[in-house]
Amino acid sequence: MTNTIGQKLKEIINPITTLYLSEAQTDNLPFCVYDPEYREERTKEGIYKVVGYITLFVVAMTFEQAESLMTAIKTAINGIESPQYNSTFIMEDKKSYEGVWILKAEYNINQYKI
Amino acid sequence: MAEERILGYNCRLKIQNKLLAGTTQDDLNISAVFKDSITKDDAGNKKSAIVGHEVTFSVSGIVTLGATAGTHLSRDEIIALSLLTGDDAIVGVEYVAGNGAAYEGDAVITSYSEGSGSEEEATYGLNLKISGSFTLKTGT
Repeated sequence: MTNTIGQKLKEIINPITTLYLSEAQTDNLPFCVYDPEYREERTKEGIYKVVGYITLFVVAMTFEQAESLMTAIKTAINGIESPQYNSTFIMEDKKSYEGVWILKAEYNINQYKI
Repeated sequence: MAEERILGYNCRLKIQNKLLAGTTQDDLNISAVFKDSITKDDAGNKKSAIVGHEVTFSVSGIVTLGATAGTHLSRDEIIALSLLTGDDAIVGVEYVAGNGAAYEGDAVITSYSEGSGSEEEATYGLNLKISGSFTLKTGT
């Protein structure tokens, strides 16, 4: 079983704003960065689930833009509910740093063997 | 022969020649059944004789629907077996640990349970007790 949670996030978030892994490869706002942590869970048949602990950061010039993007991203993540994926929202945080808004959201995203 | 240690996933219980889908743990327990005797000549020291054994299995796992037909028992099939009565409730079991010998016997399912926390996969637990003998499988 191959972990495809990162690919799935890119598939659903890139149409909303550019998604980067761990570090933005641009100075152009807005963008989204995700930090993933993964672990695998097994039955005696092998891996049956990948548990992803995902922290997302949306970075934008205005709060309105950041919130609009984060709302769209949350909707997209909710939309991955299927036999292969499910998600659980954990917490969010909003802060401004030197005139840039950074909205943070944490999710558990599970990928199952199908 | 070199020593060989095995990881737990190599230890498997089969019921009716099928594995149980979603298994995370198989536990085998063999308990001796004693008969203790005290005579005055023992001077208070019990003598124990083993007159039999009680062999039980405990299996736990992730509830799995639509398991691979033919090789695995799904949740619904396990429940169906658990609800049988009389002679129908006696199931053949086989237990093997890696490349070690296999053991077999007849068993009855003494309990089945499911747990279903809202944010985790549903889990099951199954307990069996050997009915009759539990013996080395010929040819293993």
